[in-house]
Amino acid sequence: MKALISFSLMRRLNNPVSWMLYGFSFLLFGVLMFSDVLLTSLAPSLVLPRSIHMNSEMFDRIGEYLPSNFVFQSDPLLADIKIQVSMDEYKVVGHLNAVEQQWVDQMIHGYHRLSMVEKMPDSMVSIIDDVMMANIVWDNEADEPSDHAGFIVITSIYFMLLSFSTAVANEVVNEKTSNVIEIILTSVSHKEHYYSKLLIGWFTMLSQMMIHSCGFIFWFMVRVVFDDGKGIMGMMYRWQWLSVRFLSFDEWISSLNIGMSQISIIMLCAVFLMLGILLVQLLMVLISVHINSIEEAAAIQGPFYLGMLVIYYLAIFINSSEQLNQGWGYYFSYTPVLSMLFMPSRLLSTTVTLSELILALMIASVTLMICLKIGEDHYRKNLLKGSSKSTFVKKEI
Amino acid sequence: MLHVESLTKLFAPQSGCQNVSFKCKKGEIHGILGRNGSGKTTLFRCLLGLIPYDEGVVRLVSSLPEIRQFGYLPEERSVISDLRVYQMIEFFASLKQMSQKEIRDERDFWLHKLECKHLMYKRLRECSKGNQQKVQLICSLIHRPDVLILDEPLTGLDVSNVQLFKQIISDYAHSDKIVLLSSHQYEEIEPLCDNLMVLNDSKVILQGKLSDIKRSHPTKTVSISEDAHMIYALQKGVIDIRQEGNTTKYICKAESDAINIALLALRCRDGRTIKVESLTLKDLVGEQP
Repeated sequence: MKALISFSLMRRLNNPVSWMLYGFSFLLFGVLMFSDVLLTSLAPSLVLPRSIHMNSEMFDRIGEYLPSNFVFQSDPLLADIKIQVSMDEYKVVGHLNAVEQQWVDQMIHGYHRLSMVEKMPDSMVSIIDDVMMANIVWDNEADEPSDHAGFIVITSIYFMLLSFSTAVANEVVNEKTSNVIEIILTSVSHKEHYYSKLLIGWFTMLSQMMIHSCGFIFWFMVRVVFDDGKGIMGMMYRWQWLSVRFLSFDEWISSLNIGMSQISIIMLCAVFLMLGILLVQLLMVLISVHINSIEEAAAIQGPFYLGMLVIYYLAIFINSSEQLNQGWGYYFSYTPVLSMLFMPSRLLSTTVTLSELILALMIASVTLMICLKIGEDHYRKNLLKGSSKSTFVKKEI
Repeated sequence: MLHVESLTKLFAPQSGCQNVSFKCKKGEIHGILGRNGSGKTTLFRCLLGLIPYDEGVVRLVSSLPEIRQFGYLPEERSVISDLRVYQMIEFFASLKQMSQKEIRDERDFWLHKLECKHLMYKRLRECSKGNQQKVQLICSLIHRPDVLILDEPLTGLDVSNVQLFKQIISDYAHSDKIVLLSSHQYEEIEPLCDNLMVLNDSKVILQGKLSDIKRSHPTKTVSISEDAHMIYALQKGVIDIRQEGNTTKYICKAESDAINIALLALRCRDGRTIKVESLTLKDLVGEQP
């Protein structure tokens, strides 16, 4: 089994296309980690904040509300945008796009209101406030926004593993069509072959993740040495991908407040995902033993892949806490195959009791065990070409 | 020694192999012959443990670990075409749990012996059919199994490679190993086989040492070249006539009948070739070319 797995891994990981992919991902991580540096030299307008000039009185009033993509410039000659205040108008000079124009418009209105209010007697201000401002009391029972980041990670792993499952199934088809399986089975039992195929998908995924992670960590470390990520954090803040400006990676990571409970939830999600994907992979391998050509493989695997897509979209549509606690999502979180996406959804967005968790885990594990056992027999009976008439087993001689 | 007793594997009546028994000593080449679908491959698959048999016993006396006892060259081409030659050999050797050093030594030895060392770094899809067959042969015997099963090893080979394969097979058997061989090229394997077994419709119809079988068959043949008109067809004792190119082969009931025809032919020989001989393997199996 070891020889089979290492051979298969070598074929998958050590080939010209894989090396191209590693090179590409390494380069991509480098570009991403230094995107602020690259953009500053190639397209500075995308990265550098626009300098804006206004008189000091105006800056004192609204300076703190300046959006992240603007920076105050005291010298009007050096500013990209100038706001000139005269007796009865505000003149804005500069090249502004629609979004910038909207921001400047809001700032000027704010400043104008403040300066007008200051000139009025208090009684009038109170009347105007009554007219202009409604007193709204919010009693909103809407859900807290669910943890989309976790769901994104889980679905990414889901699709990654699905594609590896397809690759493993294709490998079985290839071995069958090239008759290599007959020679392999003179050295390993069908059982070893069966389990090695299930393990190969996982090892491939882990190896690829490790390889790409190494590239990412390398560039991350380079960036830490370079400026501790200050530049890229600044760029993300300017593009409003971050609501707070962080001065280093450290600062950003500690702001995430990742505690033990979050880690446990992620681990539990991974367990459900793993059980579900193993079941899917098992089904793919079992279907593959009936396939005798690549054309047949495409015809059978296509609909299967579509089915998995349907499960994914179901998980997206049934993602409200009401559905996940009482509706279809609740029942799907106990259903084998479906539980790999619905239980993580529940874990990430609602509260799941320990007994519910144990029940769902037991259902998923027992289903997997039963399928593994039944699948073993099915695999043995159908692996060799033209074997429908007999049962193929590795026996002692 | 390989001892097979009453081995039966039936998919349907007359499909598979029935009641097959034979013994093979070390150093012997055992020919297993028969038409397509007669049960040869089923027999091999049963011996290799690829399929379970319904009845019978297979015993092998071997000092090797179980995984290395058998080597198999299947009838159909079984190569991973995108691999390089050395990768394919190393893969199958590693499945037999050989050490890296063993693999390297044996790989180089067999590549040299089969005159294909220059192919080592070539991809299998770039190799000719004959060269692919050589690589497959190396894969089947790199672990030096006690029993080497070759299913149609000579198919698709040119004359020089057929000779090379025959030499390799013969040398391998003489190194105290057992070779089970099936082929449709009866003329080619006849000089190789010590024992033979003929299967027909899943049953054994002929079995034993080749010399004994020939001796026990009184039937003789007379081959006369340039005899397009088969002029001796009505002579006494002629039981069958076969035309092979410009040569007519008269199969006679007894040796005396064959000699009579040969004497008649000698009288008007005119430079023709006249040959009296025992039945060849092909004649014994009764298979038409």
